[in-house]
Amino acid sequence: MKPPFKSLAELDRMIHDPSRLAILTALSSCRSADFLYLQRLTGLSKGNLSSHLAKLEDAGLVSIEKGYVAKTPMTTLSLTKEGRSGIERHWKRLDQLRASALQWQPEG
Amino acid sequence: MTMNYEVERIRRVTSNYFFWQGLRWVPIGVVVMALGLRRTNWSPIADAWEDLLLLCLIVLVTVLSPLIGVYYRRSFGDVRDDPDAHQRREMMKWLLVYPLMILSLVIDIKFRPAFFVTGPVWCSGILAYWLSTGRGRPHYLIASMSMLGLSALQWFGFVERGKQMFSVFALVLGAIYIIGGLLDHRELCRILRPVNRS
Repeated sequence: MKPPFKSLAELDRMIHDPSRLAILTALSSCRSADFLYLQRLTGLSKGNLSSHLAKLEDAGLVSIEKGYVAKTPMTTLSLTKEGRSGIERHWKRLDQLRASALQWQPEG
Repeated sequence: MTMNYEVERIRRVTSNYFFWQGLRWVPIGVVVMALGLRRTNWSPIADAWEDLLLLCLIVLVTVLSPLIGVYYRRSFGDVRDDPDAHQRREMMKWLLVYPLMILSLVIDIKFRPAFFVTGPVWCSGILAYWLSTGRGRPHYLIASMSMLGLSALQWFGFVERGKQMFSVFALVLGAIYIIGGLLDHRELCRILRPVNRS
């Protein structure tokens, strides 16, 4: 069995970044959320959030829809099928790592 | 704060966003309190004006409710629920919790038992609401206990059965809506931090 810290290095960095993990976790708890909600939830600046979302969109994890509500521009974000299974898998992996880290004893 | 706590909070708030929009409940609380004061000695308004005031308040709530929704969408953002995520809650609510809450009121109105049945039933209802809408707001525990307190008040003879008890019940319930709603709103403001929109 590998020590838990070695398995940590194998985590998907696209998902494991704290801001992106928060975004994906929030989106996994709903059908969709808008840009403002995610901005308030994560506390990220507009530019930072846009950059993280662009990365997630490029990775095929998030889908971005731009539209208008009462003449106000609105950006709606949702997880793609891959995004949903990816974040679920990631949390499962983190839970397993946490459990094995608690049991792990250094050799010797 | 641990990572687990933060993650749980993100999940709970996002999946129960509507229920954490506390200002939605405040106008309802005002109407319930007005209903409780109606035809009592505590009412500051003449009987003749009470029904008109109640009607005005109901109209006001109907108008205010969508406006409050717009306020939350513009200030805090919008979240669309996953309809499959809350199927169990919705089923329990409509098939078990609401019917029991109504039944308890009917029993207390029709049979006027010495023990105020509505108290423990509504206490459980509030606890079920708290558990199924993301927990995290301790004021709902106090609110549910206050419902039990109502049963104690009647049991020990501090409040008469029937009309007086229902007035007290409506006043307490209205206060729960108002205070609980304001505290929910404060909690939401803490979690969804203000942002620089420029």
